[in-house]
Amino acid sequence: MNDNSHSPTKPNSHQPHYVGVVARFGSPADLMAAARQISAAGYRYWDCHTPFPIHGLDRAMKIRPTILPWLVAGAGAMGALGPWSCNGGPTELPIPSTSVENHFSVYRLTFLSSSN
Amino acid sequence: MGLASMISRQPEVDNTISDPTSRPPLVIGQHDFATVTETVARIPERPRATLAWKVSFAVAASLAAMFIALTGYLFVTGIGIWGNNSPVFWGFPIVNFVFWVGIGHAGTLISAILFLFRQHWRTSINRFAEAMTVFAVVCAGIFPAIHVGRVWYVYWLAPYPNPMGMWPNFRSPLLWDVFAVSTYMTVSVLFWYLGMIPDLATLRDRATRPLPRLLYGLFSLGWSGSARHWHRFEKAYLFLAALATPLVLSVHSVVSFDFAVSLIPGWHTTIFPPYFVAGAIFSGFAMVVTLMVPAREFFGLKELVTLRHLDNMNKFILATSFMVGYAYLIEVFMAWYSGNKYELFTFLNRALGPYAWAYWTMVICNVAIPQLFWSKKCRTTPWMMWIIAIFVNIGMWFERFVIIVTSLSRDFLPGSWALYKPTIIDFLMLIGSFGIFFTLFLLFCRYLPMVAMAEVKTVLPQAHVHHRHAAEEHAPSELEYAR
Repeated sequence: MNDNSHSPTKPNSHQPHYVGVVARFGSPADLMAAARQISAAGYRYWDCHTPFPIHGLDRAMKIRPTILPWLVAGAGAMGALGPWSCNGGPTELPIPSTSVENHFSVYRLTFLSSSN
Repeated sequence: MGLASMISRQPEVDNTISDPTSRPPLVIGQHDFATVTETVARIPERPRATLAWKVSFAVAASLAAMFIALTGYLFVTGIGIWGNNSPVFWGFPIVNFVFWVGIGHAGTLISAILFLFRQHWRTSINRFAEAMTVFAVVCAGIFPAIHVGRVWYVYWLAPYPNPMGMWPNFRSPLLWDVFAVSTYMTVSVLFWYLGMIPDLATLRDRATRPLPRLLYGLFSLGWSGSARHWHRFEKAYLFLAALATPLVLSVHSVVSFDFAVSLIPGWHTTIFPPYFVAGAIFSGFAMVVTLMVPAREFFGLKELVTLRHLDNMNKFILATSFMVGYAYLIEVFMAWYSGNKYELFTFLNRALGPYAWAYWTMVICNVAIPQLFWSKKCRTTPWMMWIIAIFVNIGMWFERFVIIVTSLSRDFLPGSWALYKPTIIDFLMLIGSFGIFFTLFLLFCRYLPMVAMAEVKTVLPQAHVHHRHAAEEHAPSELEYAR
């Protein structure tokens, strides 16, 4: 890479100035190697474009992990707790009843007598 | 000219040989990234559809139009135009619903479950299968919606606060179906669409005409292939796969509960959830094979959807055929072992009663004919597997017919027994539902990328980061796999 790229010339209507560099690579391996080099050199405003995801590229580029897992967990929790709380939440858990009346329900007696 | 020119005339290369020392290629024909794109993208990029597509679309659209017209007739006249009556209160409409929603499950299995199991061979067929799922669920969802009678009140199925002070019956699997199937629809559409975004971007970048560029551009949501995009994409894809996986098991279990929670002999049995789920995967894979064999031929996709892919799908069909066959046996055994005279009669009635023709059609189509897939020749010969898959589709429709109609026509009280009399409208709406399915499916084949190009590229040997040019020497050559 040319040393002049570190200090772009001042914008001037007659002089071209560098705004960035684009490079094209022939294989995923070459791209990974270049990505590691660029990341190690400390560049911040750069990206890699590929036609398919390359395993390990986001780690090589030190991309900050997305918060999507937390969003999905939150949505899942809302989906679970919301309707459950509408139904009564912990009050609707089938905790066994100890009262005598509840062990002799009319419904259960008729069911027992109707089998076979 | 004619049909012969429409068939791709690609030779069949056999990559089904199992060699423990090397993985067989999943893409044959010395493809690189550019040729994979070209093979798939040239299909939607055709300026004019082929004659075969136009004829097929005309037939499918006519059947779909007939279905819509009959639905209008149903809304205006009422459920009496169907054959539903005492005692067979549930007839063709629910048979069709269960048939279509079962077919959808194979697509989600291929897309989601095989993804979690890292089965790379799914990449050539997952887009196609997931599209089949989405359209099958559309067809399935139509039947419960239109069968309610007063269809202008169908929104009563939703739990909204209302002046009647009524809520839907949350204890009924019929309502659980509303939530299960609509959840399944939502997740399937999202998963299918998310996976398509990079490929829609490819079509956008290749588009030369303004309307395709606009539409593909709109639906590709500004995708640029950036590593940051791929990072989020892969996370989202993983989550949707993980969320769709339990749906494969739960949705059809809930559908089976429509029957299992009743008291009717032949319905009230705990085998139903696994029996229905296995049957769903069975019929779904058969439908994927039914669609894929002609599609790979007509669209020239044989090098991406190889004999190995078809072989693997046929093995799934054979395995699930065994599960369904086991369910048939255990139902009969339990009917006898239980000592319950009603249950035993129901199964004798199925095999020997007035619907014995339907029962034995079901057994032959679902249990006997798939045994042909023990033969490698049958599993790897497209025209043979297509015929077997058609029989499975027929058999699985009859399975739902047998379960529903035989148990309802003769249940506890002989004085209530009667046969089911389907009307011509019942038959026409069944055929019409195929029209809707094929209309949507043909539109998918014409305008959308049928194969997940980006995913197929990841299974090429050149895609591995540690692949160097030297590695190409180790990749098995096509000659080793040619028959």
